[in-house]
Amino acid sequence: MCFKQKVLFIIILYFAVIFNSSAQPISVIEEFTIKPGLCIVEEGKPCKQSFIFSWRLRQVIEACLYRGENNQSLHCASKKKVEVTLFMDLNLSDQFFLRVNNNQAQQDILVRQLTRDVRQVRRHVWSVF
Amino acid sequence: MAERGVAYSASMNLYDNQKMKSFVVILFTLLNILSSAQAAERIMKEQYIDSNSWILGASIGYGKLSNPLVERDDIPLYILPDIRYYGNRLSLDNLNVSYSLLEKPGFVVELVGSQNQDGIFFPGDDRKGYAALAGHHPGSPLDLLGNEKKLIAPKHRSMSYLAGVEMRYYGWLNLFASWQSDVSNVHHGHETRIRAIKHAKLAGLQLSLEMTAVLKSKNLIDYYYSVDINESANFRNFYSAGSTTNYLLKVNFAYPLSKNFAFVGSVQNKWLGSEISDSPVVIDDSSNSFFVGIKYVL
Repeated sequence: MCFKQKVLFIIILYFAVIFNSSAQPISVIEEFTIKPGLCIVEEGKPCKQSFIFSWRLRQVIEACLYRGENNQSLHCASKKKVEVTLFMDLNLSDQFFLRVNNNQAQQDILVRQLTRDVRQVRRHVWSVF
Repeated sequence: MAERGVAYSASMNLYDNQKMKSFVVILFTLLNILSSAQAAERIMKEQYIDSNSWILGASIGYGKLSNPLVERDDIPLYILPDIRYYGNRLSLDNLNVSYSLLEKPGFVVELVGSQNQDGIFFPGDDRKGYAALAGHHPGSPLDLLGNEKKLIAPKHRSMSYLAGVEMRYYGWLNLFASWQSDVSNVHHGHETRIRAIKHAKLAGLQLSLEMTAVLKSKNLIDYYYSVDINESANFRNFYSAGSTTNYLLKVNFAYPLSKNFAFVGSVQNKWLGSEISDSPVVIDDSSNSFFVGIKYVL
């Protein structure tokens, strides 16, 4: 393969990648967040608290929230903008999915146990004294 | 003579009260400025660190620790090491060690051991090293003419190590309280410490404001600040110190430049209790320190 052929091959490859990425359908899910995303618990205790799940869609369509592999939805709504507060009982970190037709977005809630996973510090990392 | 003593004591109490009022006003004004609800969650995350992890770092820059003792020089600060380990229960923080007895979200009870800082100011081996690790410090020029008190240069005092228990509450305002006693067989004294710390973030700049009160027992103060026949042949210079309380105001700031580097600084002032500042070996009634530099953490 000569130099010109190599250059042509690279240009074709570049446009193929660009075309392929632009051809992907834009997800109907504009934004999906969970607050707080971190739950600190005493060692051996579950995380029991309320979390704010919020999402924004590009159009009015039904979207449902699922926890992990569970097929039973936690909440469904047919609005462009949704904010719902749900009480959770989590033993471990878990994944949450927002599903709209064939689209889905994922967010995690991290459960971290004190002493086992994390410690509460007396002074910050950047403190001088 | 006794009346003069009472009058002097009363004026000292009035002076201490005025100092404290100014201290508290400054503190809460700054707390209001620093308060930010948006920063609360980010700050909360920064109070945690992974278990079984190390912090190996050092601050390089310039600073000074003022030494309130007679004929003792300021201590320059160029390098401040920061070596910490957080195990599941055990923690090491430079010269401090602790063991967690109870750890709940926002509340900790620990057994703690730490270097007593009074000894840093006195003549002895490796005091600059202790100062850099313990974070306390520097000295002022002598003003013998302006001082009515008969001043005496201090002699050697041993460093001491304290151990006890500490409770920490984390919230809008972090509150730490500890009681520690001498376990190094130096003075058999103890100290009770109460700290209030407010963290805030302003456009990437991390700030913390700390107010501390430390009640030091008679045995501790007597060992470091009393004057007897070992220090002065003239009995008129003898001084017997009792328990007293020091107050400290400290501002720390850090501006992270990357994951490993930050521009850091610290300024603090310590108001010495009257039983310390009245001692013939003490020339100043306060001690201040500052440091500005770059901190590197592995």
